[in-house]
Amino acid sequence: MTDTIEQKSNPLTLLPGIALLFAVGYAGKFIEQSIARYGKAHHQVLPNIEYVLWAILIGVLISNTVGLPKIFRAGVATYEFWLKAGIILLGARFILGDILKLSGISFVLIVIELAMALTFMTYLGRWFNLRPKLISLLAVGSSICGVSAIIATQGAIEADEEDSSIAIAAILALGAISLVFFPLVGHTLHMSDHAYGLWTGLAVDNTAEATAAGALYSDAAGKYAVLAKTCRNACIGFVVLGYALYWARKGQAAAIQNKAAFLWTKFPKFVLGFLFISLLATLGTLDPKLFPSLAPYIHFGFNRAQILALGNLSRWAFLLTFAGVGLSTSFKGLLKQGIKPFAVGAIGEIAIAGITLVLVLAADHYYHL
Amino acid sequence: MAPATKKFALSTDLWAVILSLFLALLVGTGVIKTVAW
Repeated sequence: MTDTIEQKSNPLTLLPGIALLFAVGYAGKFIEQSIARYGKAHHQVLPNIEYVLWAILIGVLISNTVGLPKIFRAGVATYEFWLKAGIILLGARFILGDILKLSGISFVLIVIELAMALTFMTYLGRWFNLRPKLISLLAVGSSICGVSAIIATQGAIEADEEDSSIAIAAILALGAISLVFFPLVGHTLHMSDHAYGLWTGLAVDNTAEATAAGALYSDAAGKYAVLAKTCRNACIGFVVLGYALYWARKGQAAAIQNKAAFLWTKFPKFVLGFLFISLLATLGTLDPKLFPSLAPYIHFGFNRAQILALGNLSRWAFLLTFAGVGLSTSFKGLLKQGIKPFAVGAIGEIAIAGITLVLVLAADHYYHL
Repeated sequence: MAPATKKFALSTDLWAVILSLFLALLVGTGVIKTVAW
């Protein structure tokens, strides 16, 4: 990460890594299309394995065999940037009404998930005798949104860098495992795209892995996973504020002067971009006869061809993201973190995945997601 | 990692918003007409 910052002053140093992200992602897409073409030409029914899996596998293979040369590292670290750009552009594929309906259900489930995950992780961490601030970081990382939540909390509660590195490594390791585990469970239970996407968005911690785990199932599931995860990300400020106030009261972190300003600083701004693009997409699809008062503004919105173009731009951004997820997954690095934090993370994640699965299946049963 | 990464994380958010809105503008004004996938 420090490489990224140092080299940020010269954007040209990012180019080799971004080119590698594109090459790996495109190779994944090429393999998917080649298999489909081969099956069609030879009249065989071959399993449709999404490019997401190929891109991640190629990335993992490179980073864990030959390793990632230094020249590519800064550019590969930009995958978080492509992820956020992809999410914002994905807003074009959502109508605001859908977002309100889905995020309403998601928010109820998120509140339950947050309360359960924070409590469970805190008690589990104490039981394993972890350092108190490491417990806070693991609880935030596993309940809300992975790496960015841990980084935000680390600053707010003045935790050690070592603690945050351990918590980040644990969350990333579990995210990598979830890429295999979640689609398997989803297929076994024959979950709908909607229910599976919601589950992934609720249970997988890091946004990149949640998006990838959703997209591994289907394009539609990826879309719903992003929506649920974005709702979860939007809660980051409140949880970080809660922890900051807790540690400040104990005299182990700076007091918060202005809570509203604190919330705004921690709020992920890309969520606003996502809503804005969705608003324009919704506006463009309105029927002027049904909404006469909005008729003069409808031309400001996107038409169907533009929505398709934006949706495809979002797919290209995600292609770079998934390649980055693979290229940034180093098994050696993940094993270095020590067994205790990993065990707490793993037990917590399995419990959270189980609880959220039950919640989603119940919501699917009663509300027909 | 802390202060530098925090700065990067924030600016990543804003840069992503800027790039996406710019692309949306190009699509909205018809500069970009179609995007293949």
